[in-house]
Amino acid sequence: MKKFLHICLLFSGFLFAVLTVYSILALADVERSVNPSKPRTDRMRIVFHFAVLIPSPGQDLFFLRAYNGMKEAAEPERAVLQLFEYEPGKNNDSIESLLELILNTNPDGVIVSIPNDDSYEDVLNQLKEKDIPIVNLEYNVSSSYRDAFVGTNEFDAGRLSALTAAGLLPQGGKIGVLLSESPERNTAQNTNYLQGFQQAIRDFPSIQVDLVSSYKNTSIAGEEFVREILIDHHDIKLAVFTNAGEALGAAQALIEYGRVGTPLIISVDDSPEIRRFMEMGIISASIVRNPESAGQSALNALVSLSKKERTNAYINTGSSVLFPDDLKGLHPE
Amino acid sequence: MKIIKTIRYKLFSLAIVPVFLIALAAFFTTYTVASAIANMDALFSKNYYIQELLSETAAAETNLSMYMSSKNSENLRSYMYYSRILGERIRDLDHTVYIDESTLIERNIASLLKDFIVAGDAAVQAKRGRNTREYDFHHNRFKALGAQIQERSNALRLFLLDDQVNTMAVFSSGMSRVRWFNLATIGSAFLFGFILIFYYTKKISTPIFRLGQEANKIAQGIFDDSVLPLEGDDEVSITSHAFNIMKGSIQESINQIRNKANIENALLQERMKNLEMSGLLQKSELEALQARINPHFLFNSLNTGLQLAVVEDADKTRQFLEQLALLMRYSFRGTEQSVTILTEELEYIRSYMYLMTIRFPGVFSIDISMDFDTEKVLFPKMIIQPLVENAISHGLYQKTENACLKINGFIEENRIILCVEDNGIGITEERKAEIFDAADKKKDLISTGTHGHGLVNVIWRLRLFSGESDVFFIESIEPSGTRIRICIPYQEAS
Repeated sequence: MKKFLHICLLFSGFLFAVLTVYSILALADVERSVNPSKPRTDRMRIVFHFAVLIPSPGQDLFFLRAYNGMKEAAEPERAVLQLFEYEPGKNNDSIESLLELILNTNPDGVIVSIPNDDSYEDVLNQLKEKDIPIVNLEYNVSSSYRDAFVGTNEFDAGRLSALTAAGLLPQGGKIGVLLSESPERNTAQNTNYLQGFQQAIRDFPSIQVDLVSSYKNTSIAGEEFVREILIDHHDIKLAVFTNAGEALGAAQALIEYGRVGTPLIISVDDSPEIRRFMEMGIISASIVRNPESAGQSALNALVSLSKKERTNAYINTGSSVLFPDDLKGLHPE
Repeated sequence: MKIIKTIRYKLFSLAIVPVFLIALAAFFTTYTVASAIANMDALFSKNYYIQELLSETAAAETNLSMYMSSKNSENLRSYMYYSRILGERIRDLDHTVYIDESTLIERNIASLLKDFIVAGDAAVQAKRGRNTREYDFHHNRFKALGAQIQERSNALRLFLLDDQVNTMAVFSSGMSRVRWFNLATIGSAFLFGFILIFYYTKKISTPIFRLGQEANKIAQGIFDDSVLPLEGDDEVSITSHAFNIMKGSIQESINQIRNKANIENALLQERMKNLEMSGLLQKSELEALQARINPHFLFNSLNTGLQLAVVEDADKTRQFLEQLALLMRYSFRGTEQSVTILTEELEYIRSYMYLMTIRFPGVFSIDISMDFDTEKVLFPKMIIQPLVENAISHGLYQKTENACLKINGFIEENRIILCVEDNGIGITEERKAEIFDAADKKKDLISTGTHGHGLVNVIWRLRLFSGESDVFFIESIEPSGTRIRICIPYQEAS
């Protein structure tokens, strides 16, 4: 009986001690999770506070990856990014409001990727007046309102598209080109692209550019372009697009019309939908820009400008071609 | 100095430990609740701060707008008041920026507040200077900045809400875990306290119970060899120790009293025996002197006769009277004294026999021989004389010559063997039986009118002296005669 009591006493005492310790640890854990200790200021202190105004990364894979590239490059520079995003295709007022907000919050620099529109002229001027450096990413606004441009060289992109088309049509044939009228692209970009394309295609006499179109309503531009080809230019063997959304619309239209493969499609960018259509053989190739590199370059250029250092006013991040065979062995995104 | 853990100390510990445990659990629970409240306050403190900031911004805007329209100085004072408060807010918000969205937004708000105050002040100045164009510009900018502050504040609150929802989820699950741990801790504290109380109350009460049991045993007169175990060093242990000593002491005292009582009892018996012997002796002496007149008168008369014999030179008479005086002196001396030295007894017999030979000259011959030193031997008084007298009166009374009386003694196996034998007519078996029957039943043969009561008296006294019954034997001797044999334990005089 005495031994049993001893054991009971020891056991209950041990249980109490363990539970008390566990209770304290559980409470400390709650305290820690609710009130996480602040990072050490000497390590986490930020030197640059940059504002980034881009199309919503949730809706555009290119800008999502580009933003990730910016963040990656920002950390070693002890820079922090504050994202201001707008919905592509919406009215200019929201972009203007965001620009005004950025202007009034006085960041150390701005990375903008906005359509080329005169309505932003005033705010951009005020930013310039406040000596806030501006770097353009991909969308090329007027050179007077920016300190640097980072993006794809449209002339080179046009050339690459032409060479890809020549590769897909070894026997020659007619080609149709759809220049996008989306807000992100401006006339200058389309002109450069077309110039590059035509310059490169000259080397392939068997290939002729039979149709160059553009549609104001970008949401149906791809489908309209396919219909135009099928009705009026049925001898066009390959269609080249400068906007991913329009290319996807065209691919969907070919499926609906049962004309997959005629014409072949060259798209732009690299998104899961693009890849899916490439794997299905509906899109034959895609001219892919390099978003991570673009984001990193934009951030590095902005840091240099903020430090009052010299930087290239025009940084070409280049582009490459993605074929269906390149997707084999890759994990789907 | 040895620290005694007293029962008070134990009881105090017993009470304080469970109380402490429960208090600890309660304290921890209180601390948990207080901590939860503090965390909740901290979680929402920024919301309260933003709410106040927005109220102040709205108040500044309202007062400035009213001042612009009515130029009321009260509104201007209010605007200035809120403007100053907002200026102080800038210092709170414009802190070091971390990779934390909320600090970026706070910095945005601080920047907007700066411009907000500058625009407001510029509008007031323009109003005072009646510069309508500038006044409109600054007032519009002031309102636009106010809207942006509202937008940024909402963004911050949205961000905080997101953070708070996540934190609340973590906090809720964490607190749920803490609650269960608290309940388990309280339960285990209760269990531990319960077992502790049970254990110690048993530990304290068991020795007291044992002590009570032992005390009851002693009260009932049961003294066994059990000893109370001494556990610990408290009052009960000390009492148990004292109890053990007391028990031993009582036991020893009782043993001593018992021994003393035994001794006293033995002494009492001895005294009773002596008294009885004295009584018998006195009785026999009284009987011996019954027929005589005042022994002192006789003794004095004897002395006178003795002196007369000396004067007259009658030696034989003198010797006779001397022996008779000796005989009487021995008889009268200390009737309360029941025991004497064997030598004295034998001297007495010699005197007696001398007198007998004077009375009956040429009839008796006596032979006394002892194989041991009679000087040191204790012997009952007046034992041999009745035997000699009995031998002369009943055995040898018919003899006119050659009456022989022998007294011899020796020691055998630490017993004195003393024989008195005569060559008289002997004794019949009936007579022997009659004597022993009277001795056994303590009957007085005088009352029955039969001879031999002297022998019965001797037998009684011998039995009382020795404490044994077989001490007196009567034997017939061939061809004629009687031998009386006395066999008593050897006792040396101190």
